[in-house]
Amino acid sequence: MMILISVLFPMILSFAAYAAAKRSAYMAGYISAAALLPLLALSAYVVFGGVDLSEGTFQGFDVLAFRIMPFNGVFIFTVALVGLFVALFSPPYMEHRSHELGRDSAVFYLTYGFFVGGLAGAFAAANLVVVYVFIEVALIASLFQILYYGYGDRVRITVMYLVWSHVGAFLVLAGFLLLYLKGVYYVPLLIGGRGTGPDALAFVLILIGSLIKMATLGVHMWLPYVHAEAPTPLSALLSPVLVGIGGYLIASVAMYVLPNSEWTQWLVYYAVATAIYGGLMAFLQRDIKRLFAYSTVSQMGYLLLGVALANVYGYTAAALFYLSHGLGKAVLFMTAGYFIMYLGTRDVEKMGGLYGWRPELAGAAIVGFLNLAGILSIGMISEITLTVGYAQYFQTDYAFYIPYALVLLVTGIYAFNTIRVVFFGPPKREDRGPVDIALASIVAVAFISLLLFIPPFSNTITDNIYKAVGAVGPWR
Amino acid sequence: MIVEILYLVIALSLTAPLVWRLDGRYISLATSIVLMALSVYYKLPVGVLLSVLALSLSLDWRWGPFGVALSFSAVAAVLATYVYYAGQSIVYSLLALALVTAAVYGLLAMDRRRENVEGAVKYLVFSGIGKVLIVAGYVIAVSGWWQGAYLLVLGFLFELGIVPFHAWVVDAYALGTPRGVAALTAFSKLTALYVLLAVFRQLGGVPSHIGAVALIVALASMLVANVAGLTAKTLGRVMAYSSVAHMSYALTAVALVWWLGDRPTSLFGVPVRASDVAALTVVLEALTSSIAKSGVFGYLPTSLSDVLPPRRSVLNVANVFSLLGLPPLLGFWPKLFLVLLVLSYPATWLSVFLVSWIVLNSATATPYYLRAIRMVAEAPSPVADNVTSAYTALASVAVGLLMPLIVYILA
Amino acid sequence: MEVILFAIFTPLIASLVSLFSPSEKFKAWAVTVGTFISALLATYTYLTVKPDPSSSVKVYDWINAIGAKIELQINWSLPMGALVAWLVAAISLYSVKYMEGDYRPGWYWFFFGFFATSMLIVVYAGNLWFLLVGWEGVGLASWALIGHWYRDEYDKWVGKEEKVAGVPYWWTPSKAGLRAILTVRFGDAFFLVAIALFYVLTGTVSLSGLKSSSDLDALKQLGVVPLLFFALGPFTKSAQFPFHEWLLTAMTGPTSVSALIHAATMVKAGVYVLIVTAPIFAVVKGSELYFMVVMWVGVTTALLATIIALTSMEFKLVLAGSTAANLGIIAAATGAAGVLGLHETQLLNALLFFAFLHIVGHAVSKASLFMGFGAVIHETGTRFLGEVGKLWRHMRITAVAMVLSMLSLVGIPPFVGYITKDLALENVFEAGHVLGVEALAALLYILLFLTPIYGLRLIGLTFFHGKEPEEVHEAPVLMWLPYTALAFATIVLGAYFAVSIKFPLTEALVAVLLGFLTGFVLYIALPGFRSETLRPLWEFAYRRFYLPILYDGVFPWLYTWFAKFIFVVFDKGLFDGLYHNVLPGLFGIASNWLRRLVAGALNIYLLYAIVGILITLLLLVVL
Repeated sequence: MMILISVLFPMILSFAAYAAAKRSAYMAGYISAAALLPLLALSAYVVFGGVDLSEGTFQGFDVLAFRIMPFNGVFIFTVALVGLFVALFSPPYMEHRSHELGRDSAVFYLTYGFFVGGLAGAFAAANLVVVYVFIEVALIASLFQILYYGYGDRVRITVMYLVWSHVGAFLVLAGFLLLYLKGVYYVPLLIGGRGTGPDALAFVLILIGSLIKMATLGVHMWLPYVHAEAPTPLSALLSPVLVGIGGYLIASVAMYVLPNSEWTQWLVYYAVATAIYGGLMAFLQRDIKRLFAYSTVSQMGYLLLGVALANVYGYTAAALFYLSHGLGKAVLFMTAGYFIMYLGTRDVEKMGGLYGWRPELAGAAIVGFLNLAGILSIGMISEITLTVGYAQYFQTDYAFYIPYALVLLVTGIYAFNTIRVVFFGPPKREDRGPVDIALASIVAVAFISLLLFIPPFSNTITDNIYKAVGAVGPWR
Repeated sequence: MIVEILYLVIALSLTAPLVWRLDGRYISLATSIVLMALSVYYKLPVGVLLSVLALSLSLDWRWGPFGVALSFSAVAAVLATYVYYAGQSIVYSLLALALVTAAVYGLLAMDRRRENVEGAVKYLVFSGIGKVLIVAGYVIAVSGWWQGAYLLVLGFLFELGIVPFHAWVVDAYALGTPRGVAALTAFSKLTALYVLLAVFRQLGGVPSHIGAVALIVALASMLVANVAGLTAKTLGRVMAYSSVAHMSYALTAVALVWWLGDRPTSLFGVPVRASDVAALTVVLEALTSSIAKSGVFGYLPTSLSDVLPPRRSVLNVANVFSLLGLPPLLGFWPKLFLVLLVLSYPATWLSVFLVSWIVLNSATATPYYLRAIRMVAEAPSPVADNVTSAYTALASVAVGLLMPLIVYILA
Repeated sequence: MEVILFAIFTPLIASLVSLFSPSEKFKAWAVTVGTFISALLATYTYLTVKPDPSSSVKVYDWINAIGAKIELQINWSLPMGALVAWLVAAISLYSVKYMEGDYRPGWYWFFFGFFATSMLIVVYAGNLWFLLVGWEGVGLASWALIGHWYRDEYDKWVGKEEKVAGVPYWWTPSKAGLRAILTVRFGDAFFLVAIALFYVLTGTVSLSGLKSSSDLDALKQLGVVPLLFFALGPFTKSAQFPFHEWLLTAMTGPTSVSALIHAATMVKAGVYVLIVTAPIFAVVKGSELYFMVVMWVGVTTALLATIIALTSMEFKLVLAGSTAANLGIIAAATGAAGVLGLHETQLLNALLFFAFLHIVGHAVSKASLFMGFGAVIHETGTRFLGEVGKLWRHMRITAVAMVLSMLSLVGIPPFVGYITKDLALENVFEAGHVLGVEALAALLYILLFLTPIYGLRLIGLTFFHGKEPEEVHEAPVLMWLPYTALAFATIVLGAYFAVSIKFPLTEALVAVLLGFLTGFVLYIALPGFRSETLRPLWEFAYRRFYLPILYDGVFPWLYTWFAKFIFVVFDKGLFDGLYHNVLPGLFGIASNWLRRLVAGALNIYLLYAIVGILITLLLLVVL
């Protein structure tokens, strides 16, 4: 029952957070953060210890079947870690937003626990329908956050989000149902791939539904709107941790029912195209939150690439990308939130020379970008592993490495250009940004992403995922 | 139970003159309690739900002489339900249908405004045509000719308001007295669906080509209704198009089985037949629509619903979400079972098409449901939730949440 | 081996420690002490550990999944490590005074130590993934330090506020940092791909593993393309043509940074890696092509960069151009060694040794020059050549040191720069001879001729001629000590190398002396010269062959235009437009039309019903 309890814990405590938020957003933030500690501990134990936790009988239609092994453990770890720090970040921001809107932040904290708990549950659940249910819980919870606290035409954005995410979710559900009818009740990756045969229709349904949720090229349009207009702590969760679930579903379910391995090459091309496209669009944006949103599209291209390569390195890289992108993007969105609170703007043209305004923030944001660009943070490990997976796939077809190099270059271009535009140049302000818990959270997450780069963290994570995935991957 | 209902009808007719003295609501209150007792005794859960609904409607409004009509419509609905579940003679079903039509006609025209009467008349005409077709079709079909099935299907198309026979629905919903419309959605539509299930179960199915026609019409109707609803301006009209759409979903389920034939399939690991799944879909559609819409109409104090609501409601937001099909509310489950039904037929491309069609329709419907929510939630304060909205919202949520358990027990 | 690890990581630890105090003095001295400890440990290693070209000493298993291990190579790394560590320490000491009063000491000192550790990782790494960590680290540190003066003040720029063909010909520190990191990133992308390929195709990325016999077959079959991918990393890192532009604008960084990173150490990382991997790559089938490419790229860079140095109008640009040129010489020497020693390991190693030597010779000379001219800039307040002059009278010690270092740099015997440059170029001459490309020799003669001229120009216009300033005095002792020591080291090392290795005496000396003479006449005897006829040529060179127009104008414009095109056509037009405008619009129109049908009159409804019946009948017949 441990896993189930850890997943439900944030949901249960969200009621306490709701009550607390009526008086003080800070109390609510602390409660929401504390609620994630069990999940964090459990997933860290799996990921760093290389163990395999499971509960439930896995017989028949068992709704209480959960399993955390290093692959999905990394996803849960990221959700818990990012969720915890964003919860700590949120009080100053939510007070600011509440002030603007004239309503308190109670609903935000009520839905926060459901959102994070729902996501974690989706990664931990082994029963396909239970996975779907948890995804729905997370989606509906986040819907209310956007509806109540979003920016711009938030009702329209909520509708957009509702429609897109549910189209994706229903397609995935349809795929799951097809598998049900064939007697496959559990996530194939979590049961070692037993009992699944190729099924083109299920594959296509789950794939397209997941791609919509991942906001890859062609079905990405909702992401810039939603992530930009969502209240920033939510963006700091949506971008890093929600969209990646599509990648997880493809990796853990769809790839096991792939009818023909020739199809993966199209997926690989598509992933590379998404990565480049996202990077190109990010470069052009003036609104910093939209810039980060397009960056997420690009990074989802990377994650999809890892999955599409369908080899042990690719899968390991995909899990690591979820972690590195999760941490990096959380830092960046929290930075954007800090700007919104204390600078009052989202427009990069109005920024510039902000390094001196708050050097710690600049340092943390730069680390955030380094995660995306794959330099000397956990992001570098994910990038290296992905490259090895790519080389394993394409071997001596040397022409294919040029688009890959382009992907890396495009990411570097928008990352360093944005750093320059925002933090460097003649300073425009005399004051200093305040030091508060928001800043502390940002710096903490940045620090963690650096910490995870050094041994013993980087090697335990990577080797554990590698071993775990190697034993159950769909390529066997 | 038939006997008891007969007694109840007689009793109601006899107590009818009492309305000159007391308000009709007490009559319908008593009737609902009796129906509730009967449903519990005969183990009819749907009956319980319906009778509590009638109870709440009675508690909320003054019905005047029309309290009797409300009672009759509730009785008819419970009767139709019982006939289906207990496998009784179709004649009783048809009688129930006739009874409910007459009662609801009166209820729609309750406030006696010109618009109310207009809406009621349209309801009566089309419902009447529908019933004639149904009876004729039934008689012909039982005598062995397949044309009877065609007439039956046609009759139900009229009765349920499937495109292109749907125009009356819009007017009936928008122009009828809201409380009457609540009864319409609560009892009339539900009765019609149970009659449909009972009739076709007795006939043992429908020729395949008629099933195909029905399917095509149902799919087209689904799309037209959802698209049209996108720009509907008032609460009543939005609900009307929603109703047409929901009825189309129900029809799709049965039409599919008629066309492709019954086959064994499984539901969450339990072996069932496709026709069972279709029936379940229809029942759930009926319940969703009736519960949720009666909640929405049941809180409007105006004399027509072709307006923006004058007062807010918070609980009805849950009802509209249920109509939208948001999990885990009640309205999600018929859609789910419909998809499951589609997927249990092995024709891949058909499945893809149908699933996509269903998903697309759900997506298309979302904006107008959300607009309905806005209408309801952003109307001026104070909150006007009443017993009906509370009960229906509770039912939409609770039955939805418990659905997996219910299915497990049933299967 | 732990000693080596300490040598590598002490500077980083020192820089982490420095983060915890706001005092500039504390930061500066903490890091400087750290670098000195590191230098002592590196020297100890050099003196006590026996070089072993075939083994990588494993210290720690890192990520087994991809063959990443913390392994050390103990061959070239021993002298290189000592050299690098001492240069770092010397420049750290210099920086204490040079960076006094700076507005961002925390950033500077953190990245200084960080850089030192990263560079030492590159030097000592025996595993390519471990190398990559250091490689990325030096790239990042370089970016950070080039853009150190992030406020982009005018006196920190490279260039003047002028535009050529609409493209700005001035570079602020933040812009220069961007150019550097993007150029290096381009190379690093291919470098990364190459390492991954090595791992996948041979099963190991350990330098010793790649050399050992069990992987030899896999290695042989590798083909030349991965090698060329690999080479792009060193080419961009060592500013080889056409990737040399970033090095020139990197002069926006503090001069201590220029001395350390962009003269003595970081840029050497590229050619160093080329040298270290040469014996491994020699085994690969088709590697003649690879070595030829390396050689020709080196020669081209040397020549073009020398021309840039000859016509630059800023002190540091002359030195930067000279650095690129010397890197080109080292690369050319490495390539030539590969061409000549392809099948004979001993010959290969001997020739590579000559290439390696020039790393040492150039590093010592260039570090001194940068530090000295840094003092000049610091004292005179200008970065432009010719704005102040006759500094001989005001900065004696500096002048002496600069003259000595310059003579070494341009390759005048008996300074170390002459010996190492000549030995390196001998490789290239020989290769040209063997390949039958006589033009190569001609190019090298031109190179040797031009080099002393730019050196003497720099010295002459600064110390002997020009406008004498009012109030300029000698640099503080903490600054002139390091560079003067290095200047004298050029003589000492020269003598040492002449005795222990070889004193080269070839026709090349003639070209050098001719160049020296010309330069002497033009810039020491005469105060420089102008020629209207040569002016277009000069303009072309002064504008660095108009390449910045390509890199700062054309490429960014094309990239932005392409991105905007995709944005307008696809993102806004197709995707956004379709999903959020066209589709809802269509639905809206359809919806309104459908609703209008429900007109209100009963007879019309009945009409629809009849139409409906007819349609169903029709369908019935059809199906």
